[in-house]
Amino acid sequence: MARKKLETLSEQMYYVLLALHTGPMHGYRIMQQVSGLTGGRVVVGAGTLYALLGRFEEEGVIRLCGTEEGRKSYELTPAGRQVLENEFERLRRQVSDGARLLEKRDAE
Amino acid sequence: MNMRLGFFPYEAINYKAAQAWLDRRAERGWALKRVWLGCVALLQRAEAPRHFVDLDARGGFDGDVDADYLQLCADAGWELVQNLRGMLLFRSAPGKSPVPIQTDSGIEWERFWEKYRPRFRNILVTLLCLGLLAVALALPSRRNFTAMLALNSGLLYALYVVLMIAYIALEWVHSRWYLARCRRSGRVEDPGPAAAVLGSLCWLRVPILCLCLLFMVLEPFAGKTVDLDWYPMNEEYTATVEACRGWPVVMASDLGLPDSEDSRRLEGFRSPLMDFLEYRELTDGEGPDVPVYILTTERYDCLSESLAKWAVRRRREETRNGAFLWGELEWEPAPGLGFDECYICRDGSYLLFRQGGTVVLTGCSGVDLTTEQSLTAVRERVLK
Repeated sequence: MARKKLETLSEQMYYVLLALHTGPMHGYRIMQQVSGLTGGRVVVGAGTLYALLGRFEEEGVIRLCGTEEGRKSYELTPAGRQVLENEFERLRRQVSDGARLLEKRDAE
Repeated sequence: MNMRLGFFPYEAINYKAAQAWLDRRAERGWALKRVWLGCVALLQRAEAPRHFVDLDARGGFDGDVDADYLQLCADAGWELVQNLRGMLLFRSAPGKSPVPIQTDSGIEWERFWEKYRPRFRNILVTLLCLGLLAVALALPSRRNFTAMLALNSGLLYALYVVLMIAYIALEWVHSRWYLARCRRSGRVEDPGPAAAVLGSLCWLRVPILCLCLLFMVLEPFAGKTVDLDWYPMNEEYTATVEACRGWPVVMASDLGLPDSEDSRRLEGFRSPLMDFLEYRELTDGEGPDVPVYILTTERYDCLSESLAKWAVRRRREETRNGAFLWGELEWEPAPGLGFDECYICRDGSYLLFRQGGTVVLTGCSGVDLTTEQSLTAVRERVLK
């Protein structure tokens, strides 16, 4: 179910899951992690992250794992890890296909 | 001056216009402090302020906002100023330059579409209801709606209804156009200046409704030009023949009928459009052979001749469907009686005429008002 709906992830979705792959964390920490991971190239707004977390939780991709000072912490579920790995594989193939064609043209 | 005010009439569906408005203020160093009375924005000087207007996905009315969402926004450097009509108004915390709250236009659009798609149905239902109301108003009625133009509260109510209909119709057109535009681009667009016009129209209704209610309360005291009343049970004998004679209405004595000893009533209202007088007299002569006469005079002094022509048309229609004390009146044109416009019915015992901006409707069962003597008396009383 989760895999069907989240077959393709947007860039922000991907990085949110990637941030959670490093361990459980609360929303603002995810925002910082995403920015840090991408060197500030990708930023996730609070409202966007809030909507994404709600959707991921609904799809069973992440789950609540604690609350600290009013901040909810989330962690990836096995299904979420699978979604992330599938997306990584899809992106890797895209890059590989692109590299094959573009490098071939450059060589010619 | 470290404070200033601004008109902030935006509805939640046009929250991107609200965002654009606040962005323009922020560029000049103004930050939102509060919105008073739902539409007056209080702005204060601030160092490089930023704003963000978000939709309250949980509901459409002012109320509690999801605490987790607020916490996340606060951590990110956004302070909630206010939850207004389903819009969450944020400004940046001092010294912070936070990332916009929404950074994925696709997600933002999906949420917007989910919230406002049902609005189409709501607006259609409202338009249907208004259509039914219009039909109901157009149906034959026995009420004297013409005289309502002499009531300030009536005028204000009519203005309110017109504004409401205009607002709903314009909003429907605008919403369709706007949502179609957003669907094409796949993101929530700035609706442009139309949002401010619609919002203003929406807010204009509030003071008009308040004035209308105020006049409804005050009208019986302040709006009346005359209120004379007498009948045998009434202890205060105010509507004397002499008192009523000072007003330009046809009375029983003008037509050679005995003065009323039974009941007499004169009432008048005035608005910027019309001055209205209504006189009723019931003459109950002594003895079983003396007939009872019921005399009624309505007089409308209109602001313009075209309004007077409308009043004639409207009163003809209203009385054709049946009028209080008069029953159903079938009018026939009587161009030869010397008025700008004239109609008679029931063998001349009812007369409706217009002279310039003045309209008079008078009638008395059993009395022919088209005789030279009666017409002279009528002219003498109401047109001099």
